[in-house]
Amino acid sequence: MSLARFVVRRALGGLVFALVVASLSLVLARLAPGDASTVADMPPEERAALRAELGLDQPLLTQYGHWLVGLTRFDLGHSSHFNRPVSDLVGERARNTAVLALASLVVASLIGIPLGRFTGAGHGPLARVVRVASVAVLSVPPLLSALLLVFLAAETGWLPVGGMTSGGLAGTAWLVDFAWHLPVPVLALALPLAATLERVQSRAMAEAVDRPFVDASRARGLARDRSLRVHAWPVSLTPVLGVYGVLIGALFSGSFIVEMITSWPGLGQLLYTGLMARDVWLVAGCGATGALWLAVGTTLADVVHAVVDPRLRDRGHA
Amino acid sequence: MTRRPLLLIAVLVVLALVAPALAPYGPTELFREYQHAPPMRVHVGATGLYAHPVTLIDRLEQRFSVDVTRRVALPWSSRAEEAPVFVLGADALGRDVLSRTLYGARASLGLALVATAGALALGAVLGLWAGYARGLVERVVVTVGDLLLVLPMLYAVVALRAALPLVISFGTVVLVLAVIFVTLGWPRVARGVRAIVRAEAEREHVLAAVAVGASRWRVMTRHLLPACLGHLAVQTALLVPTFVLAEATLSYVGLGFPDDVPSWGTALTEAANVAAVTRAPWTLAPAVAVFLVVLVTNVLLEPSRHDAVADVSRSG
Repeated sequence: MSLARFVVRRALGGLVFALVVASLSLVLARLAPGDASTVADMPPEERAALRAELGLDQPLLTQYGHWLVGLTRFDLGHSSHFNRPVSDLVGERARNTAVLALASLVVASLIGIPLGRFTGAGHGPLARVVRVASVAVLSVPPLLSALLLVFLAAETGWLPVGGMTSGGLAGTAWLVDFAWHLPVPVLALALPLAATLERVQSRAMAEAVDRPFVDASRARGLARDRSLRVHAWPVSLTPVLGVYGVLIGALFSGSFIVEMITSWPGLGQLLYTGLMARDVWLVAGCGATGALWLAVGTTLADVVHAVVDPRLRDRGHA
Repeated sequence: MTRRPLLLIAVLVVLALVAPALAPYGPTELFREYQHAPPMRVHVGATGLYAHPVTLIDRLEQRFSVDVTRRVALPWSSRAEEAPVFVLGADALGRDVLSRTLYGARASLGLALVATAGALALGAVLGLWAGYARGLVERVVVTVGDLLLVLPMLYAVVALRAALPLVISFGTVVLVLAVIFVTLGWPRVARGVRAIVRAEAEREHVLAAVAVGASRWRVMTRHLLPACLGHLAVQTALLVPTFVLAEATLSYVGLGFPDDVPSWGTALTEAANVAAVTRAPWTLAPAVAVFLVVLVTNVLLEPSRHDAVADVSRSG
């Protein structure tokens, strides 16, 4: 299969996935007992008016149809809890989650891959220390790492314990303040991922180092460092790239709890608020946006993987 | 690779059953004079282990003073009437953190083990069926499984739980959470089982069994299922910590066990209060328990975990 066909198939698969998940989240939100009108106490006629305003009095299929039509115009309905258009809310929060997730992915890669390269090729006491530390960090899922880092931040007072900004700032001051709020949530999310990447890269590197072409390059007189960098490492990157598709999902899962603990105003927190407030359109909007992000992320990871390893194109299916 | 995971599960089962019996105090026993009392050091004396009692000197600041002239026996040897001993300190309400962590093991591990058993059973049945019957069944199982597999576990767990009535009784919570966990966990099991069954079904001993007229049931249980045991064992060990974490996460955000049920997750809700945690870091003890469960799994499964990750990654 050509690369273009693979990309198109994969993208279509991602789109179908996003649509299915979005629809499921709408159904889920509608099936949940209660809606925006039952959260607060109000007289029956007001309740009926509110339900009519939100379109909740119509049959489920009609609601679904309206919602799908709105989806094509990026109109996700109205959030009863925030009293704002869902698309505004979701766009803003999705951006915040994306910042958190991308920063974590970059940090995790920068820590995990060089360390994995090192432990995969090297022996010696330092490699062993890194290996042990990596298994230990791997066992600290985001729930625990976030709690631990928040505790450390509060204890030392070096970093803010939550939020994304202190508010009321603009320009450079805002940027500095924002950067100040980043380390706790980003590290909480990145550390377990870094450990995963380290383990995978380490194993891939160890396998690559044993391959005959590495011996051959050494026999031709290449220095060990150069042989590892030019011949072994690039080959070992293929399985590492394959893991990124899975990591995107882990990143999403982890971002939920990290956002909850560090009060990061992201999609996970918004979804939780929506679920608790029985805000049907908000939940559906979050589901749709989250699924779209997830689909884009895994598709990108798969496409990159397929570019590097053409064998995957024939196996690839959505 | 079947022995190590099974050993791990056996240890966890024993822990869930035995831990509450090891607790020195009841999980809801309140010691009002000991709110946020610090962990007490255990000393070794001629008459056995003992600790120095602490007394509250400032209720507002929650400061305690240690009375080194007095000795109290540990609560296991004799329920000392004079003063309680908190080996891991006390929480905000004056409950023994050690006891609550031990009782929490029953709820957290118990739920995880039940859910794992369910996910294994469902995954094995669907995987066997899909791999052996092929055709439409296989397509449905694979499609639904892949969809569930890509969903981020925690998001899905929270969304499914939040869509149900928020206040429900303890028994219903256990059932609801177990059903949600099984729903999201079975594809991990079924994926591998199906792959193994597909390969195994072509082998001579299976063809021979079919040729001599063995029933479908016999072929599946006697010839195909045994080939999957290694995979099932590894999946068991991977699912238990996943579910322990899912419970902790759910309870942390208030969607898991009710507050009065001691579990590792409900104990962590206290950690949501930053001020309380910096004052009493020992209340994070359940986090350490969760960490240990995950760590033991990771150490035991280091080689096979990689395969599991690679297995998922191939799915796309």
